[in-house]
Order: sequence, then C-alpha cells, then structure tokens
Amino acid sequence: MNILFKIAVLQVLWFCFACEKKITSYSPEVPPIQVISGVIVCDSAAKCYITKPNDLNTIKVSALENAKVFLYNANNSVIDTLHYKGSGLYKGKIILSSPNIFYKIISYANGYNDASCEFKLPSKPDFTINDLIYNYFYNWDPTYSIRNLPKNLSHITIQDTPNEDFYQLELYDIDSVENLPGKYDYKYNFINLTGSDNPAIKQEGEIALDLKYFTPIFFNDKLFNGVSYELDFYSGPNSNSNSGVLSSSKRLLLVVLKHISKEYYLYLKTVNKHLLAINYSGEGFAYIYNLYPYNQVYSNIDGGTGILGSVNSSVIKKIVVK
Amino acid sequence: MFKVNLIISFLTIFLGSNKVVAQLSGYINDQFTNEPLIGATIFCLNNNTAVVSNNYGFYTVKLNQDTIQHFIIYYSLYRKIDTLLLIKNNLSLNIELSPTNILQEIEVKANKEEIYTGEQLTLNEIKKMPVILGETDIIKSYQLMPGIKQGAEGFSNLLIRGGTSDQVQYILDDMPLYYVNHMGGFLSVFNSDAVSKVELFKNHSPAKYGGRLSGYFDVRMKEGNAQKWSGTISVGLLATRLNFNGPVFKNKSTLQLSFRRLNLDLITTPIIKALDFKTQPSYYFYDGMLKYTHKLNERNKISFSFFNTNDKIKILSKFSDSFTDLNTKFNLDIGWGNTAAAIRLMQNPRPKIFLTHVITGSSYNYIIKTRSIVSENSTETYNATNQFRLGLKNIIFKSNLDYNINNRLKYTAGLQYEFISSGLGDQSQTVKTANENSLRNFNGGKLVSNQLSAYMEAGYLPLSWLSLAAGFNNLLFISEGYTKNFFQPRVYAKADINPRQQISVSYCQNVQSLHLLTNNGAGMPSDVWVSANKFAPPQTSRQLNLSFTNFFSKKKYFFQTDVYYKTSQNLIRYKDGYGLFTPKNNWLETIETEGKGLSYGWENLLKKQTGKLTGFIAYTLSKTTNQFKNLNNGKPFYFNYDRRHELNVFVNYELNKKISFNANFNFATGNALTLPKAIYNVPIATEPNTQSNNSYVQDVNLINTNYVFYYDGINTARTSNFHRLDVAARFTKQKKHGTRVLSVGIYNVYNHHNPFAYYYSYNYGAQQFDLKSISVFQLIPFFSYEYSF
Repeated sequence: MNILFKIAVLQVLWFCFACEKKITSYSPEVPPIQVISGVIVCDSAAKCYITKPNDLNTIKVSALENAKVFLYNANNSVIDTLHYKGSGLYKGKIILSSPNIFYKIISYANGYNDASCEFKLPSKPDFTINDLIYNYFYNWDPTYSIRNLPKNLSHITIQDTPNEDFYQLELYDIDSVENLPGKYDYKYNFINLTGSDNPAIKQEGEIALDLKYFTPIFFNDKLFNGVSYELDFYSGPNSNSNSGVLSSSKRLLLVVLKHISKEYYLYLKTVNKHLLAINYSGEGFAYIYNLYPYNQVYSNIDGGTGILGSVNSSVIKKIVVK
Repeated sequence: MFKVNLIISFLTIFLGSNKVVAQLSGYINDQFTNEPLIGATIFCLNNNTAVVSNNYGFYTVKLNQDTIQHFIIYYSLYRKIDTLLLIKNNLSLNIELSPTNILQEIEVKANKEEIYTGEQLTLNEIKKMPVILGETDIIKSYQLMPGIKQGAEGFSNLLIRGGTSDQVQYILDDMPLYYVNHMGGFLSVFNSDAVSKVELFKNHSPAKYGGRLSGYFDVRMKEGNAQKWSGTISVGLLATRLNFNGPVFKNKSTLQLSFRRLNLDLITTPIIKALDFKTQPSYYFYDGMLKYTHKLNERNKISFSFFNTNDKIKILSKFSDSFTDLNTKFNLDIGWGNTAAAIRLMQNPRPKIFLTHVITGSSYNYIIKTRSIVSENSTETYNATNQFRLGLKNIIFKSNLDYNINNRLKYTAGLQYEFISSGLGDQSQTVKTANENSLRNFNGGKLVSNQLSAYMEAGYLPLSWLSLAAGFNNLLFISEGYTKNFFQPRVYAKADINPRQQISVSYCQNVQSLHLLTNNGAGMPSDVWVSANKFAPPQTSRQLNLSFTNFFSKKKYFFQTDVYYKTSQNLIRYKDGYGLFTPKNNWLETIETEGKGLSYGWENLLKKQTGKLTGFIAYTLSKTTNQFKNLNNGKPFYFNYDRRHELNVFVNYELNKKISFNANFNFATGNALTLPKAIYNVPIATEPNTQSNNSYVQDVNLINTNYVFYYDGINTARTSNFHRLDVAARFTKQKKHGTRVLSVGIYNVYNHHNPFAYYYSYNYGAQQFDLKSISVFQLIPFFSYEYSF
C-alpha cells in the first residue's frame, strides 16, 4: 500500500513538474576488497567463488584467479586448501560432515585486502509433519488462481516448537515419476506460507520476486510457535515448458526443507529487498533517497563482502499428483 | 510626531491610601478590528521599564502611585502612542493602536519584561516572501532563518539544528498538530490570512513548552474583527483562499473563518478525463480554520478554535486484455489530514495575574483504499477491496498561570495532562467472486500513553542591564507498564553590554516521548507516530546556546550571531532496508534504538528593518552526526540533512505605497546520502540434483548471477549544491470597498535543477547503471490575486 502511495505522489508530481537528469560526476573508486560467495553443504567439500567488485559501469563477473584460500578448523589449523577450478570457483577436498563445528575460510590475494569468514554447518532439520495436504493453483496470477480453485482444498500442516533456527522451504515439480533424477518443468513463481490472519507472517514467507531458477521461501521458526500454517503454491508455465496441460500427466512434487545458517538467512532476506529495488530501477523508483531506504545486502565476510552460507537439508515429502 | 489616537476606558479600584504602588493592566488591541495585539510593547520612561502583551494581548505593569508616567506604546506596523498618564490607583486600561504601513523606529533603552522571545517573522514580512507558485507559506518563510533546514527541495519541514521533522512541535492555538504539510510536503497547512502571530523557539525553550527535542512553532489565530465584517479573497495558480471575520455580537464576540483549496486539480482532472488516459491521477487538498471568541466580562474571555485539513490522491486505472476479454479497473484513494479543536478560558482575576485553562483534542489520520474489479464479457467476476488506516489521537488538559509579582519579577507555572493513542495500522480486505465472499480484518494495535507535566519559571531583572530566567518542565511519562520521570531544567541569562549590544547564554534539556517512524527523517503522511516504551525509551536532548546581538545605525540594522552545541540520546532510526513498506505491528523489530546525535554550529543573521529597502542575510555553518551501535559498524555518520553551509538572502524594495519588489536567493551545500561504491555478484541457486541417499542438494554458481550494490557506509556521498533565485513584484491598489494586491513573479529564475531525489536506472544499451536525479520545481512563473474588504 505504501508503494502505491509513493507511486501516486510521484505520478502527480511528474505529471506536473518533474525533470530528470543523468549524473556523470559521481565516479567513486572501487575498494580493493574480495567478494567471497558460496554455500557450504553438509557432506560435501568446502567450495566458494572468489571475485572482485567492479565499478558502477561494469556488469560482469570478475574472477580472482590467483587467490590463496585455506580452510581452518576451530583450533586455527589448516585442514584443507581450496584450489582454483576456473570461473572463480575454489574447491577443497575434505568432506565436511560434522554439524555445529566452527570452520574458517581465509583468502589471500595480491592487491586486495585479506578476507575471511567463520561458519558452522547446521544440523539436519528436525521437523514434524502431521499431515500432508496441499493447495495447487495452475496460474501465477492470483486473480486467475482464485477463479480456478481446485475442488479439493487442503493444506500442509507444519508444527514445531520455536527456537533460533532458520529454514528454507522449496518445492519442485518433477515432470515424471519415472524420470528421477530429473528436471522440472514448472517453477513455482509464488509460494505463500500463511498463518491464520496475520499478514506479517504472510509477508515473511512471501517471495518478493522471481529469482530466475531460485524460488525458495525462507523463514525463522519463531513463526511457528505451535501454530499450523497453510502452504499454498502457485505455478505458471515457464518459457521452457511446452505444455500447459498439467492434470493429464503424473507429476511428482518434492517438498524440501533445509536448515540454513543464520548468516545465510539474513543474506536471503536482504538480497530480496535489494533486488526488488533494483528491479524497479527502470521505472525510476529505486533508491529515491528521500523515499526509499538504501539496503546493504548482508555479508559475513570480514575484510571483504559476499556471503558464505551453510546448509543441511533433507526431503520432507514426495507427492504424486494425479 | 504621530497623531495620538487613544480611547480610554477604566475602572478605579481603591486599595488603601498606604499603598505607594499601583498596577496598570489591560488589553492592547487593533483600533479597527479589536484584534488583540500579541507582543506589543509598553515602555515606561520614568522607571525605564518595558512590558510586552502576552498571547492574548494582555499586559500588566507596576508603577508608583500618584505620579505622572510617560509611556510609549508601540507595535510593528502600528502608530505608536506617546502619552502621559496620571496613576492614582490600580487602573485597568485598554489601549487601541491604529495600523500603518511604515515600520516604527523606536529607541527603547530598557530591558523588556519579556526576557526571552523566540524567532519572529511578522505576517507582513512573510507575505512579501515569494514561495511556491505565489502562495504565501509561513513555514517556508521560516526555513530562510539561520539554523533551519527544509530537508529536500520543496519540503515544508523545519529541520532545526540537526533534528528530524518530528522534533519540532507545531502548535496552533494550543492545539498540537502532527503532519503540517500538503502535497507531500510542498505547502504547509497554515493559512496566513487567519494567523495573528508566529513564534519559533529554537535557541531556548521556555519552561511551558515540552515534548520535542528541537523546537516549538507556536501559531496564534486571529480572533476576528469586532467592529464589522471583513475578509480576503485570494486566487492564485496554486490555491484559492477565503477569509471572513467579524462580530457575532458587536464588541462582545467575534468569529474568524478561513478556507483554502487547491486549484490545480480543477484544471488537470477534466483534461485527463477528456483525453481518456488509461491511468488518471488527481490530487486536491483543503484546509479550514475557525475561531469563535466571546468576552464574558472585563476579566474573562472564552474561545473555541477548530482546525481541519484534508489531502486526497486518487488514481483510476483501467486496462483490457483483448486475448481473454478481461477488463480490469483499479481505484486507489489515499488521504490524510488533521482535525483539532480547543476550548480556552482566559481569566484576569487580579491585575497581576493572568490565567488560561485549555482543553484540546487533536487527531491525525492516514488512509489507503484500493478496489480491483475484473469483468469478463461485461460480467463482474472479481471484486476486491483493501483498506489500511493508521492515525493518532490526543487529548490535553492544561492550566497556566502568569503572575507579575513586580516589574522585575515574573512567575509562570502550569500543569498539563496529556493522553495519546497511536494506531499502528488497521487493515480490512474483502474479496467477492463466484466462489468466495470473504472479509478479513487485521487490527495492528494501539499504543497508549499518559503524560503529566508540571512547569515553573521565574523571570528576574536584578539590574537594568541583566535579565535572568530559570525554570523547569517535569514530565511523568506512563506507557505500557513503563513509568519514568524526566526533569528538564531551563536556564537563560542576558546582559546588555551597552544600549546596542547584548550577549546571552541559555541551557535547556528536552524530552520527546513520541517517536516518528520516518524514512530518513523527510516526513511523509504515512509516517507513524508511536509512543515510547521501555524498549524504545523517550528521546532526550541537551543544548547550550551563546548569542550576541548588535543593533546599529539607530536600530535600522540588527545583527545576531549564535553558537550552539546540542547532544541527543535515545534516537531511533529504521534498520537498513526497512522503511515505509514495513508492517508496523512489529515496529520495534524494524528500528535501531539507543542512537546518539551530536550537532553544533554557528548561525548569523543580519537584518535591515526599516526604510524602503529591507531584508536580511542569514548564514549557517553547522555539522550533525548520528551514531547507532548496529548501523555503520557503530561509527558516527552524517545526518541525512547535514548541510555544511547555508546562505539565504532576502531583499524587499518598496518603490512607493503601491509597488514593491522582492528577491530571494538560497544557497546550500549538498545533503548527505548513501550511494554505492561498487557492484558485485551474488550467488544464485541451480536446479536440484538427487544424491545417492535420496536427499536433494542444490548447488549455487555465478553463471546466472545477480548483481548488487556495495556501500562503504551510511551517508558518505553528497547531493549537488542547492541554489535558487526567486523574484516577485506586488502591486497594491486601493479600491472603493477594499484593497487589491496583485503579485507576479518567477520561482527559480535561472532554472537550476535542484535534486529532490536520486535513483539508479539500468541502461540496457550501455549495460550499466546510470545515476539520475529528479528535480521537481523548474522555472515557474506565478501570479496571485488578492482582494481584502
């Protein structure tokens, strides 16, 4: 609603008076910092991407190829060296499978500040599902979905006691039961996790925008507090799909719940808001310094920027849709 | 010499032949309208005493009995009275002054009994200043004074000495107002036709004021012409103003009515409708003031004040989808406004005593309504509405006592109880389709607080060249189980170095128990007022001010320089990434608390007050920083509207009684803002793969990455410098039944693009982000036509 207010004020103003000018005098110096990006998955070797930031006129991935990257344990001893694999990727060999143990990655690169990040792997998610029911709407447009309500409404109930853990929930639609592992044809553009009548919780679980292939929702389990929630997911045909015929084939829905680190959760929250603003930049609403707050994407890299998240996941349920 | 025009009415009260002093008291009014003159001076040459009429025109002075006293009574743009008076006993004397167009040059050698006055611009000075599209604006005129910033271009806010827009309390006839802007901030809600006096306290806060950190903007409405009905009609490019005032019962009760409405939508809306645009915006505002005053008897008066403003934005959108035969209509209505009322009893039971008792209620509301209607083949298939409302209400009971013990000692005391209820946002949604008819309500909750304050202040003139004032305002604050007492001392001292030069020093502490959740302090109607509590305690400030004043060339010129140092505690600010669009029911999680502010500066004002050429030059050098534990890595950062240098020059030239010209030049260095230093890539997830243990793992890569901005701190960049020149001319003509004033002018003469906002836009051709600025007010010619009768 407040976005609409902002649109309204600006429309009225621009209709009457506004004038736009490009600023060419702002050319800040790019800081000599490393960008470390990656998600450490439990039961996998440590890996991350190391790049450098660019000036505001350069949109490309600039890999740092000669960095020296080491993995340390809690005693500050080197336990692995991450080697360069191309395209900015550095990968180690040691499989990390112990949750709740601290590790540290440090990267040294000539001409750049040393960057480091401490992390620990989360434990496997411990979730109870009482029932499995779903709502499934074919078209992403809520107006259409409301018109096309399925006859048998149902919902997923998730109940848990609250603590300080963070989760990410994803849904995958596999085109054929027989075709596992496989690709999926339908990406869920809009997943809505609602709880009773509290729109704040709805907003917490709501995806702000389509992150291309990545359509998760992420939340803090303070949301739950012993309350059941309804999980609705909306899907629309993507450009790769050749069919809008859904109901005639057997489909497999996978509900995957991940236990993610707090740092990764904070990153997901802030990057969504940040990209939302940039996505609007074409219409001129981003970073209006009097009306829209700037939003720094969360980073847990000391001496640099980026995100090194950690994840532990397991499948909750497979649903065969007939 | 000026013609003496004095009407005396008196009552003689015998107090006993042993008394050697007598009290002279009464009201000072306009001769033709009977409007009380606030701040008029009565200078007694015999004992070198000067007293000033209060906010209701009342004065009182102690004199030697059985003596002939020589008085000069004067007020800005009124003929002075120079007279002798025999004082035998206590005397109640009402004085009437007749208006003139010429500023009086009065040499007053005494210290005024009014020890401290705020910044005052007369209504005459305000009317001469060209502002937005020819519309006089009281707040915009004060923005030209040193130490006061407007924020962004066009905004009607008073950002005083590093404070945000909520740190100034706007008071209209004892009624507190909460959002005083129209058009998103381009014009204030005060109609100058209905205003009698304006006073801004920023250097020092008298003890009777409390509740804000940076200042108090006290506006008094006129009471109205007690002799005959009169008024003003004004039509300009922006708005139409009407003002009518007159006696209900002659010399007994008066009524003052004023109304103002925007004109622009009357022109633009029909055009947009006729052209049948797919999106049709419209905007209008109105404001109205009413004051009824009734004189119960010579010593008692009662008045009722009422104030209402309303702003409304409407957008109607319609679009059709030819493939699906669906038609969609979308209505958006956004409105905000203040409503306030006050009943006041003024009593003068004894010549030395003046009492006021006030009950006032004020309410601010903001509402958004949307309606979506989808039709297929002319049949409505979907109808949804959404309404969001928030606001604030408060009720105040207060009593004030002014006691003039003698000409050198004055005592003020008062009690106030205030109840505040702020709503965090209620929402209701309805959806109607073939299969659904639902209604959902969401109550955002309310925050309630009770405040009891008591204040006392003594003003003392121990020596003819020395004035002292000391007092306090004590606040007991209770909200949601949180109770705290705040003691706010106020101290002021002024010394005359010689008849033309004065120095003063003041120290004051202030407490603010209402927080405004505002985006960057700019002030928007959707900002939410929330009461302090134990998690976000009341904000406090301390300020030390040193001032030097110099009159020269027979008081034609006035120069004042101030140095101030101000610290603030318990400030709040939105967390990174939070702002207007955050649900307010969990507002505590969206803000950073325990912020500190530091502001210091040097303010200068040089003013020419008399003659054909008048005007002023105001220059401010200042610096303001804020510091929060969890923002900017705990390091101090510049306040959003930290402008290092600010220069305002205003000149008015009276060619003759009918024609005058004026010009206004503003210059300020840039505001602080947060701009990115670089771009970097962030990871994005790939499709899932199964593993042998049948769990699903998702990888991340940078092949289809997203790019985000990198910032190295808050407010490390600066906007471009702000400067603008406005010119105007006023043509006054005396008509048979009234006076006509035609104003023409140009706003932003050399069309400088002062930025209102900045944003980044992605340039697909060059594949880069372009930084752009939006400027709102370019070169704009304006006119206004005003007729007074």
